[in-house]
Amino acid sequence: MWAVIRNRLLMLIVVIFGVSCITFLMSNVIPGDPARMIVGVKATEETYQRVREQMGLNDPLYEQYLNYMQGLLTGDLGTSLRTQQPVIEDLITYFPATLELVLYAFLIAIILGVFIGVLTAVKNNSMWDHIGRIFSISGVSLPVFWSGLMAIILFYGVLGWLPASERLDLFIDAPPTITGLYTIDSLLAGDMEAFSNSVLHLIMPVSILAFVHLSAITRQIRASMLDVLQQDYIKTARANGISSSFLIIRYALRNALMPAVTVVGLSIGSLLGGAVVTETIFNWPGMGKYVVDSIGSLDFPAIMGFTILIAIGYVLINLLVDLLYMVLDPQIRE
Amino acid sequence: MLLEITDLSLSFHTLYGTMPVLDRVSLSIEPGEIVGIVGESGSGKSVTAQSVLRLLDRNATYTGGSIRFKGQDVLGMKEKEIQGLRGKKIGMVFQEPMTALNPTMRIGKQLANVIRKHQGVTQAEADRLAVEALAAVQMKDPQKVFRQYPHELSGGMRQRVVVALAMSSPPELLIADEPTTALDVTVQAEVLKLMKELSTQTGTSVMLITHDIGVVANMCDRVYVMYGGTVVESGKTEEVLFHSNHPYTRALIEALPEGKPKSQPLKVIEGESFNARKRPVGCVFWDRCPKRTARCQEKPPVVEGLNGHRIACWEGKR
Amino acid sequence: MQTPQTSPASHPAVVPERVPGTVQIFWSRFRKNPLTMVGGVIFILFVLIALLAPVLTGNDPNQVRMDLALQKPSAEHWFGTDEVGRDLFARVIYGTRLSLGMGISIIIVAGLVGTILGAVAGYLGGKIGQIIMRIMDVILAFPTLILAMALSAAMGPSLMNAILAIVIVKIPAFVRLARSETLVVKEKLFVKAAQTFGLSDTWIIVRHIIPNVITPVIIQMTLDLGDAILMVATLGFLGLGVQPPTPEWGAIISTGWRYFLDQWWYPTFPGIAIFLVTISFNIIGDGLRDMLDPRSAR
Repeated sequence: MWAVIRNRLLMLIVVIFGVSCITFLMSNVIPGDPARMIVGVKATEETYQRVREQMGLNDPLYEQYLNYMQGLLTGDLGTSLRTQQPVIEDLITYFPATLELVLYAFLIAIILGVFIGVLTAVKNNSMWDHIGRIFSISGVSLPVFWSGLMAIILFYGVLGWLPASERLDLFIDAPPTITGLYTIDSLLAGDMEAFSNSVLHLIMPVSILAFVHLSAITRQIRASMLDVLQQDYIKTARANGISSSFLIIRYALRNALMPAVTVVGLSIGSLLGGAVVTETIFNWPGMGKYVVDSIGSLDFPAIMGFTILIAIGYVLINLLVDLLYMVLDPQIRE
Repeated sequence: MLLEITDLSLSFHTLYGTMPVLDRVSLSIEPGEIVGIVGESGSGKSVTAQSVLRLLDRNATYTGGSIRFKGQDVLGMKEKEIQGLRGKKIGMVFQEPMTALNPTMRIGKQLANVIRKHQGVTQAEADRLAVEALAAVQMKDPQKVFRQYPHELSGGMRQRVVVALAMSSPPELLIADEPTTALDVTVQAEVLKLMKELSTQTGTSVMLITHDIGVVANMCDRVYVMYGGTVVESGKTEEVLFHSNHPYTRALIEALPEGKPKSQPLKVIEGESFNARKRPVGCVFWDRCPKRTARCQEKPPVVEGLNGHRIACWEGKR
Repeated sequence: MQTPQTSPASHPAVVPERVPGTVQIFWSRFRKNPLTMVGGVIFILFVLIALLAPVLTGNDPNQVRMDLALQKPSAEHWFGTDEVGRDLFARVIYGTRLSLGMGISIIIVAGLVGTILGAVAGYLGGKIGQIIMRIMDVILAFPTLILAMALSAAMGPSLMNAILAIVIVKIPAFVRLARSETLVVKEKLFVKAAQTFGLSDTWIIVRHIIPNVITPVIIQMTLDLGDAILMVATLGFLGLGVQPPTPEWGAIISTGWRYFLDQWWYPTFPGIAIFLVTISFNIIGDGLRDMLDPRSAR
């Protein structure tokens, strides 16, 4: 097991090195002339040259890369052209809002996804199975930016039940920051008004984001559950009188979760992509909205800082998933 | 009579349409008896065995006949009632020990689950009984095996665990579906010996499904020979082995390697069993029978021999 | 004790039908799955719409009529009009060409490049194989949509760059698939034979490996098409794909977003189009996967 972990960590270093190369290429080489983009076409030649010098664009490429790596290792992702703040600080500010959104969406998707996946597998080819199937295919086919808008039209525009932007109503003060998650901080502070208001604000974006992810999980759980239910050991347990419900929960589910765990880890990538779009639609002050605003103003340090941070986070999540897999599978554990 | 199967017919629904798999199979097992069912793959022997515990998938339909266990109608039972039979009154051992145990659950836990289900004892008591059950199948270190996972055991040990599962609350009938086919020859003998001993100790009847008539010769009191979803011959083991006139049974016996000079090649039964969709109207062995005649295109009669020996063949007379 | 009984009259003699061939089984499964049929019909409908766009609408998708801005759906303008009075029905219809065209070309290019890289990596192995696979690992380390966003932002928003960005993020899956298939084919006798004849690696890869790994790749392409179209629309929505005034679904919704609470029809119809096209591919892909999986036969 330790050999596996060591190998994974070595892989991690190779991958992160590769990721840094790609983001370096994207921020310093592909865009053509970043200095010209900053100063604009109307600037004098003198200002333009000064900016080039300041940005280190006149240095040889390898020197630029070394500088870039040096910054990266010290947590310096450059300065945002739009906010004039260090990108890392901006991202830290916006991180809790994204975490709150993604975390709740993820939990809801996992719980419902496992439930629906098991149900449709056990009732294979029944009416429930068909409904579940249409449901999950719809989920992966819905453009998030559109289903978000449609939800806002209905629940905010027509019915007026739910707020459609930001994390809290304007007149409600944010709870004192402890975790950065408003739902938890408001409970810790005993501020029920802020709590219920933040829940109201979460309902729509979380549901929209969870739905896409839910479909992916449901599909995976259904497939691996169908596979496991055909295995010999299920037949053995059945032949020994183990009751159906016990059989499904204690014998089948755990074995079905193992292949699903890996897929769920990988699908977190699409969850993060979906979060960018969801935050944009719901004007949710998280990292995703930050990056889309940055794209609008061609703020490359911010875009690339976000991208590399997400990539590293995603790689780490998948490392965790691999470890979880080892815990679940006794055959690898030793 | 412990188990009595009468005229059991069964079909599978598949993509190709409905396939009849069993055609009026009848067999019975007395208390304490070891009964062999022998035949090649596709003869319906496994399907017959799984029917007794109603373990077949939903695409199987019973089209006629009955299965009675101690007089109770098995096919008419509710799911709850059948669960009470499985593992408690009737135990089952499958062919493939490598995949027959849950890979993510400790051996002890798998045993204790079954014991608790059938004996309604506390967890601690179930654990104790589980260790006992492992000792009963002659595990050298039952305490250790109790804590192990299936992948840590050899094939022979796993098959003993499967036997222990089936015998944990001594059943009245043990169905063993090719229990040794996947094992090494030496381990095969051990597992068979173990089952025979357990059967003698507990008075459990055994239904032993195999394609190996040699195993039948060593183990069974009586034997049923199946071919193409029907029973073609039945009777006491020595009657069937030494006085059979059925061409199929004869071919099975002649294919045995024992007691033959090495130079003589093993006899192989030529041809393949018929396509299940094209069941012959007459004798099921028609396609491959070396002794077939024109009248074999009609259903053969059952010829009765000594001691309940029955042969379904036109040439069955001695 | 019971033995086989004899009653010839009731012996069940089942009359055999013709044993169906693979194509027949495939078709019969296809027909038995009404959902897959629905997917197929929707897809064909959209192909027809794309081909017959000028016949279906007399309106020019780029015709600006300020006097007709933001009109409700009517007999004249089925899907209403946008903020400069362009007919939204015409824009959605013409958008079909763009979305289908972009989606299909992305998948074909990514599938082709991926197959070649995968076949080379699998067949040659060694350093070259290692390098190819590590590069793919690095690309896979990014969430796909986020890498596509960053790439098209870096290259500058345009139709071609959006296609290129999505192709890049789609390639690794095909490389992995083609490589694992190649590793199997590589051991086959006809490849070994070709090697003993002294044929060049290029010849063997082109003539022996690729033709034998292409089938699973094509299936994967079908499965991925819906996602590619969704990604095109998402980049368009974020302003990173097709630039106005080209009628692209995602871009139309992006503009319609400003008006959506009062002019609900503006983003609604292009969204329905995206949803229907994507779901039709996903249904077909799902059905395809089912048909090819022997376990789900029943």
